[in-house]
Amino acid sequence: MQKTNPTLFFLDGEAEGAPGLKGSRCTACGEVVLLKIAACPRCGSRTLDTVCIGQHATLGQSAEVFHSADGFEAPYFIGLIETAQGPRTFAPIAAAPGTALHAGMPLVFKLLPRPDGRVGFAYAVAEGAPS
Amino acid sequence: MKGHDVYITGVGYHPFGRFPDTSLKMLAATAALAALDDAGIGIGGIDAAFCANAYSGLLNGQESIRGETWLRGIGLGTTPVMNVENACASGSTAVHLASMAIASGNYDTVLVVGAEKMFVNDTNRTLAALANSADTEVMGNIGMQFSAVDAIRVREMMEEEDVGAEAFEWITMKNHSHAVSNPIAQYRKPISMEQVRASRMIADPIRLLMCSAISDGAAAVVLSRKPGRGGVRIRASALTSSPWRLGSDVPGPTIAANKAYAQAGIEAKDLDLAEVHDAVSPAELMHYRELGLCGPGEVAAFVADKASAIGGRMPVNTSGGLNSRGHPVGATGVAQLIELTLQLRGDAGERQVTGARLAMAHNSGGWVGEDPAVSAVHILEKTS
Repeated sequence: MQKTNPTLFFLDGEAEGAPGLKGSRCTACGEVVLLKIAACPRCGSRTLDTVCIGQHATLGQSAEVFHSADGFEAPYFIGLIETAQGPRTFAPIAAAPGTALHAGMPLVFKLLPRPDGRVGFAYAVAEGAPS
Repeated sequence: MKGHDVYITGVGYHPFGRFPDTSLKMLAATAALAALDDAGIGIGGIDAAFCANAYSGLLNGQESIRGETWLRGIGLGTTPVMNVENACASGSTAVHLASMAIASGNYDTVLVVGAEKMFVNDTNRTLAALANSADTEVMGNIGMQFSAVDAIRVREMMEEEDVGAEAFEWITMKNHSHAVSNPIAQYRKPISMEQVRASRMIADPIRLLMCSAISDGAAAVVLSRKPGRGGVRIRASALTSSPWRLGSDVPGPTIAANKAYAQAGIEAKDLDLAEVHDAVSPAELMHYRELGLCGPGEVAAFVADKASAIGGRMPVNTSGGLNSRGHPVGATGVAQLIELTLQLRGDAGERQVTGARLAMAHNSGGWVGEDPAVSAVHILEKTS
């Protein structure tokens, strides 16, 4: 299965805790960051474990986008998410057009088949979250 | 800045807009020749050229040696060219490098040219090129477009400042009114707040008329160790990359501005005017806080007082800003410095800010992590 962002996320079975985002945890100071990187931005250690993060996240601000781009048909949502492990990033939010999203909503990572046959990802509002 | 003084002794441009029959070479050459003429020198009078462009590889098929192709046809000869790419901050990065080259004593007079040709009869192709100014590993294939990033940043500001649609409409109207008398500007017609409100939503709360336009255009400056007409000196030139936040909430533009204020030995309150990076017009409000033009919690009052309009206590984007002057990416940072130079010389015509002596330009580029990939701040001073 071909991924849209091979260095950004894990499929089921590709890492402990997958699916989720790809991250690095510093073995010296414990800092966790997004992506596989070569040196810890906090302490400079070059010993980092590659880990799966972002299975759960919290929504920051988001925007409904009304111009199609990048294979996404408008309207769709983009949000700033904060993973449970700390790193923040922009991500697609799987929500129906016109959904009232708000900061603080709990999110879960999900894999998402794309029209071109690849598999991408998005965050969805966790079931049971207050609307 | 450390080292020798650096002055802006010449400015020139090709107007911003849609020019399907004009090549990128001609855009750049037109701006370069105008700047040299303004400085009163020929191409043989420069020691080096710094050429800024972001998307020529993707949009025009010229990935390498861009500057050499632009300037050969105006008699550059064997003079060295440095090609500079730093997304939307390519132009200000070129000015930064050129300033360092003069301040170091290695060059006496240099030319900086920023140029971009973005109309390629395919808006989606241009938008896709712009999206390359983010970390594509993280932000590619997720539906990212810069209007959405800006919409989210504006929403973050709205959590802390009492501003909304009315302020965004006013700021857009304000910048369009500033651009009316700017001959470089892409949009020179005034618009009303109602027109802004009626334009279609792009990424909530950003509407079409709030977005900077796709542009063709070029801007050039001559920098020298010796003062030219007007004695406009670069008092600070600061560049920062996107910081790892690691618990900090200080954004990149604030870090760059603070570096520039420290270099210049001034505070934000000492400035007479500013050009800021309003890739979407509501972002201008965000930059008031980030650059210290007003304090946290003061943005709504700053807008209500019309402080940032010409005639206000801190005019911002007297050129019309990216929103109205246009945003041919590689030229933008240079165009900001052209506006400030004209203002400090007293040559800004109907846009003139009376008595201007200190002015700041803020130019952002791309996106990495939680901040613009590049934040550039220059402070110019009238010395004569």
